[in-house]
Amino acid sequence: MPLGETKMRVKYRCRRISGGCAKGLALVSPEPISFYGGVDPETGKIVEEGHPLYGKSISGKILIFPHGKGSTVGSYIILRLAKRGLAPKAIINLYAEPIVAVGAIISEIPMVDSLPKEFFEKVRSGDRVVVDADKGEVVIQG
Amino acid sequence: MYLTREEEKILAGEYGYAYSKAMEILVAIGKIYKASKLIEISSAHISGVSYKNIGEEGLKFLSSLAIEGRVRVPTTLNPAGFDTHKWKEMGINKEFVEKQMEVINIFRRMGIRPTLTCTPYYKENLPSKGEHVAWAESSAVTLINSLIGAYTNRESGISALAAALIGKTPLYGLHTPEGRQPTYTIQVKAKLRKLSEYGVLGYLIAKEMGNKIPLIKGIDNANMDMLKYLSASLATYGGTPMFHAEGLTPGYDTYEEPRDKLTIDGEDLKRGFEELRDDLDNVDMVWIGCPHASLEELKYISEVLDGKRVKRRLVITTSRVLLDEAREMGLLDNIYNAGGEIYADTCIIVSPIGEALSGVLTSSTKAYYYLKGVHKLNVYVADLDECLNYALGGN
Repeated sequence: MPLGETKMRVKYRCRRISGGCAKGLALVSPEPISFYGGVDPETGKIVEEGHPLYGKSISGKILIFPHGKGSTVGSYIILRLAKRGLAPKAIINLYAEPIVAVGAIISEIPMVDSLPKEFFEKVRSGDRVVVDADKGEVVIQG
Repeated sequence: MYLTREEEKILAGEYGYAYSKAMEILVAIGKIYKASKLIEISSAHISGVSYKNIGEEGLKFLSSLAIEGRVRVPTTLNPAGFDTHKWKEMGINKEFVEKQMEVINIFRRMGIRPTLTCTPYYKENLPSKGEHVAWAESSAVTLINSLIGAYTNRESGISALAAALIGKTPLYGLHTPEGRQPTYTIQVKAKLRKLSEYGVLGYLIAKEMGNKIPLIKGIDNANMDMLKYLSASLATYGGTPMFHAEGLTPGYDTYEEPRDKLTIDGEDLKRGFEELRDDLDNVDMVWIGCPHASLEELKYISEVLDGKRVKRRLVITTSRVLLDEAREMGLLDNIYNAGGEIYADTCIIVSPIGEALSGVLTSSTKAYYYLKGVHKLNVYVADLDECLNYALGGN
């Protein structure tokens, strides 16, 4: 449920998985993401064939996707992206799983999940989004 | 999730970065799976050792933990990128050797025993029934949950390390009786005798049922090596964390027999083998030892190779402890005299030597999956006898 709704600004409650705050442009994937094999650690681009975000860069984005999948080596791929400045600024999942959660924690990337369904219906790639994992809040600024 | 005052302090950083990071990881996983609290573990086993997989960033992260971090429970380590005594013979470049040894030394600094094997349950780290542990290495997880009746979730290398540093793991999933409930029954209607048949059985089950826990009927004569192949295959193709086997695994009869049923017969097995066979034409290595070969397997190979000479490259991988034991038992001479290569500490999947190959003949269904996925190789699964026969020049 939105807590406070004005014309442009909608705030949602969420659960903190990895602490911190970030603000940036949303990149929304309707499909799960596998970091090992699915994201190129050299470029930050999605390289899984047939993926809806194929060819797009996740670097510097507020990356929004249902959940992670694939090998646990994926946690290290997130770390590798972060050390090269190619990681997303924050991660929002429908529900978190350990591969992405552990990757976000060791890379110090803010990550949240358990937002209401309305959030995923409303948010679009390119929206300005603020994630405050410590407070447990996500704001779409429109 | 409930945390004790002491655990809160660790999370808040009062004991330093390594423990606070480790606790943060355990708390996040506990939250995700709605664990009620942390429970004590008696051992851990860690994967993610090969420098090829973790890279420079992984090395730096582990090294940041090792400044203060020391494990609280006996902890063993998965295979590395080469045999630490024979890297020259394996043709590994010096830079990789230095980086890999650095990774191993970082783990050692944390108090972890560098066993470098995916089968620590043969010797180095054998839990007992009912013990709670935190293990990575999916094939070992499935084996110790099932055959031994130890309790572990499928940990990643990092979550197993976090658990080892804290000495605890979140209470959920395979640590609870509900999490070990079988949800369907597999009736095996074929007489399985060979190791690779158990691998193919695991492949067929996992392909149908994914990560759900099966009760398997009709394999009550299986030995530990056979179940090793079954476990590796279930874990690889389905992410299956355990199985029950009628008349074989501890506590199989404490659960009601699930009504959902799947029958697997000899025809299914034949079809399974066919699905795990690419071209034989460009095979440049016969590989035995995924998961690491047991003493019994080494003994058998030694007997078959007695007085013979391989015509094609034969590589056997095992653990350091079993290699030394096999040497003392005089099992290695036949293999070396026949021209076979034996390596400890490593395997073809996590070693850079896999990159130079084009095709592998192996007895392991797990190897089929990873050699194709990681090294893009042509792979052909056959039984141990057929593999050895091919290495000796047969067809």
